[in-house]
Formats: sequence, C-alpha cells, structure tokens
Amino acid sequence: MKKIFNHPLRDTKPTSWRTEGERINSADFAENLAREFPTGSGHLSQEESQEIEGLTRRNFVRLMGAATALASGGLAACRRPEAHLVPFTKSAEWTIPGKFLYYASAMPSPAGAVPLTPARIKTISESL
Amino acid sequence: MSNFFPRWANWLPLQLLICVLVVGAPVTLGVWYYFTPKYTRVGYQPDQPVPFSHALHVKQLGMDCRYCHSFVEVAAHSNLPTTQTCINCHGTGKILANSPRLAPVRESWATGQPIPWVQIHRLPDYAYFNHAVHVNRGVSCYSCHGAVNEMSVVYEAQSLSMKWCLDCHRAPENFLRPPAEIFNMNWHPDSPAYQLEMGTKFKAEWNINPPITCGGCHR
Repeated sequence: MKKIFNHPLRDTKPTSWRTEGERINSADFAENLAREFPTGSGHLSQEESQEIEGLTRRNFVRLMGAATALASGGLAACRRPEAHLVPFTKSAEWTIPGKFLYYASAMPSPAGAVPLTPARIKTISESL
Repeated sequence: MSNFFPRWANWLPLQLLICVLVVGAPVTLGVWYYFTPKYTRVGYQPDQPVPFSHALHVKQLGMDCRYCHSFVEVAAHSNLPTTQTCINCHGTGKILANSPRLAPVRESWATGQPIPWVQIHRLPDYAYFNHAVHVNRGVSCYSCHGAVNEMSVVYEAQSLSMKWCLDCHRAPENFLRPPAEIFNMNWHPDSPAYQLEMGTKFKAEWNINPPITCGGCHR
C-alpha cells in the first residue's frame, strides 16, 4: 500500500533575498528594482536586436558546438612540429659541437697571475 | 512481486560484451598500428631550405660522410656542416657559384645568418645517444639512417623507437661491421651467416657489451 504524505503548505515568503528591503517587501525596494534594469538599457540598440532575432539560445549552442568541434577535431594539430638545426655560418676554430673546450688562461691577482684551465661549455652550435 | 526487468534484459550482458569487442578491437588495433613511431616517424621528409642531394654528393661524387658531418667520430653530437663547409666548394668562382638553388647558402655566407636546416631524426631529451661511441665501435651510419647515399631528399628510414634500439643492443652481432666499412654506405654483408659470424667475432674481440638497462640511455 502506498503511503500518502500530507506535506505542509509551502511558505510563500521568500527564503532568500537580495536586500533587506526585498525580504520585507518594502516600497523602496520595489522602486529600486524597477529602476535598476530599465528596458533596453545599455544592452542592444534597436538595429542590433533585430539583427540577432533569429539567434535563439539553441541556435547559439549549435553554432558554438560546431565551431569548437571544427577547431579541435579539424586535424589542426596533426602536423609534426618542425624543429631546426642551425649550424654556425663560419666554422669556429677548436670547437667540437657537444664537447667542452678547455683552454689555458690566467687570472690576475695581487700576488701574481693565477693559472686557470677554464672550460667553454656552450660549444653546441646547433640549437633545436 | 512483478519482474523488475523485461525478458530482453537477459541478453544484455552478452550484447554489452559483443559491443565492447566490436568497438574495442578496432580501437586497440588502431592504436597499436597508428600510434607507433614506425607509422608516425618513418618516411618523415620535410622540405629543406637548400635542396641538398645526398645522392649527388655521396653516391655520384663519392664524398665521405665525415667531410660535412666532421665531428661524428669525436663527439656525442653529429654536427651539420657550417655554411663555410658548403662555401669550400661552392664559393665564388667555384662549382655552381651562381646556381639559384644555392642562393640561401650564398646569402647565409654574405649575411652571417645560419641556414635553418629542418631536423629529421629527433630523439627525445630523455634518451641519451652518443654518435661517436656507436660509429667507433662498428655501427654504421647505414644501420640507423638507412641508405642516405640513395636519398636526394633525406627522410627518416628507421623508427628510432626504443624497441628498435634494443633490438640491436640485445644482439649487436647482427649489425656490427668491420671498422673500415663504417662509412661505406654501399657495403653489405655477403650473407646473414657471414654477418653473424663476423659480428660475433667483433663483439668478442672488441668486448662490445651494449647497455640494456634503463640507465644506459635514460641517464
């Protein structure tokens, strides 16, 4: 046997409100509400609203869906990205691409020159 | 208590199974075939800024690979020739000095702007590869790059997939060459049996023990 529930009547008072005025339904609020969004304020001019008259919400979703599908599934990203190898124009003496270049040098100091064997690390001439 | 499910629902598990098989099998096979380097990489042949022909330079004129790729024996990276290398032969008053096909080379030489060659063989950054160690130990250019001497426009001949690397690392005797024939693109072993015999000999004599652990390449 199916149970019959007798739900209490719904309270007609609003359960949520924007301002205190709406809650108590004051005259001030009614006046402001009417003034807040006057018809046609800043939305569309007469011509514009005529132009997009055929554009219903469903049409809009249809068009946007088609555009997204074309953009993402339209094989736009199927090409392999091109990478470039860029060698020197003029061969650099003593450098071997990919290897350190060690050379003799010296650093001056008050006590005399400090001998150094620095390494040039960036000898790869070919960037990607 | 009445039946919750209609009679046709008895067939539902079987129908679902058939549907999964019919949809799943092509997807699996498709990914298996199309999502592999063998399909996506092999045959990649981009347009190069200069229509350089390996077939002409290597096959007809008999140039060595190392004239242009000069550091392949000493460095991990096999370099491309600098514009200066091209100009050695194609400079003013030399071979085809006024050819329109060489205009980008002349322009590069005059302005100092390098020629942006399009990379074909591209290993991921997480894989370490050393050209010198392969070339010096009996792996020919041919094994990885194919018959470049036959290519008028270079394309990728091998997949360069990890399985392809491991095929050789697990059994290098199938690919090793005599050291004198490394850069000889026309050399081929007389027979598979000879290749195996020779390869086994080189592998033992040179103590070739290619890494097949992860850290060998992904270091």
